[in-house]
Amino acid sequence: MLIIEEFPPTNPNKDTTKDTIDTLNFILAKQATKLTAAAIASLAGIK
Amino acid sequence: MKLNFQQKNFLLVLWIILVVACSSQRSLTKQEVIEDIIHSISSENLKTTVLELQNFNTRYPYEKQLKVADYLYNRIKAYIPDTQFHIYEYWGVYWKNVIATIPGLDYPNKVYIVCAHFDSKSEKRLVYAPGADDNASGCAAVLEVARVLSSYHFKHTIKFIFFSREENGQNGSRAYIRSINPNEEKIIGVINIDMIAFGSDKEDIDLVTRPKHRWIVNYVNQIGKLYNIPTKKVIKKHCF
Repeated sequence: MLIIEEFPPTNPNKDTTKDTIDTLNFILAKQATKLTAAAIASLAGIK
Repeated sequence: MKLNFQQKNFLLVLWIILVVACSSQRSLTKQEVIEDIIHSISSENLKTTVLELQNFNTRYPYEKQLKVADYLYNRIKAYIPDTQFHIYEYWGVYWKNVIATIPGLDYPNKVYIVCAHFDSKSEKRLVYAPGADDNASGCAAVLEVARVLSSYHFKHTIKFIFFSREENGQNGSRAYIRSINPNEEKIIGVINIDMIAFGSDKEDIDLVTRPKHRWIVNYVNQIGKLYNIPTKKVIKKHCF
């Protein structure tokens, strides 16, 4: 197993062992996914 | 003229046929096509991907990152046949990014990237780092966007990329940038999806960028307004 060096975490105050699916809000995730799909389709010029 | 019951029925059927024929001849506007696309985004697909990524228990150690890269490769290749590994070396070890490409028909060398990192970390990162929000949620979004866009054609090329080793200094994305030839591939814009599933329903989607790239945040913000998706612009001097 390769040990990887430490790097400053994104969210130092968050207990990342509790970052599990039951804590997520999929309404938000769906909105962000819709926004990405619409933006990239528009930017890339859908034919 | 007085019509009998049979004649009335005949006229009604004829009217329905005419309406259907007229509506099928009208081609959809681009906005309507995009509305169709975004309505086909599935929460269930997002949940399935997040759960499957969480079930790796950790996506931090070397061996796990290779297995997760294989998993994402197989998932996205089902939608986009032109899927490849981008292999790079870091401290004498070979790591994998995953890249799926929809080639542009008019400007194949001009590229938009939709990406997310797939590694995770925690205080117990070698054995347990579920990383559901950070960043299985972003990977799930990239996969879902790839699925819904895979049956369309575009003027510009779109690349869907899953990066390894973001949590250790963005090694995967830096290696990718070093590998491209700017004469062959000009990156026009990037949407990096990171941690999109944490917060209340009323939370806006943060659009984060540096000042010199604010054009893309302004553009995406306008798209949000057009399709009723609340967003918030965040311009930072330093961001991931």
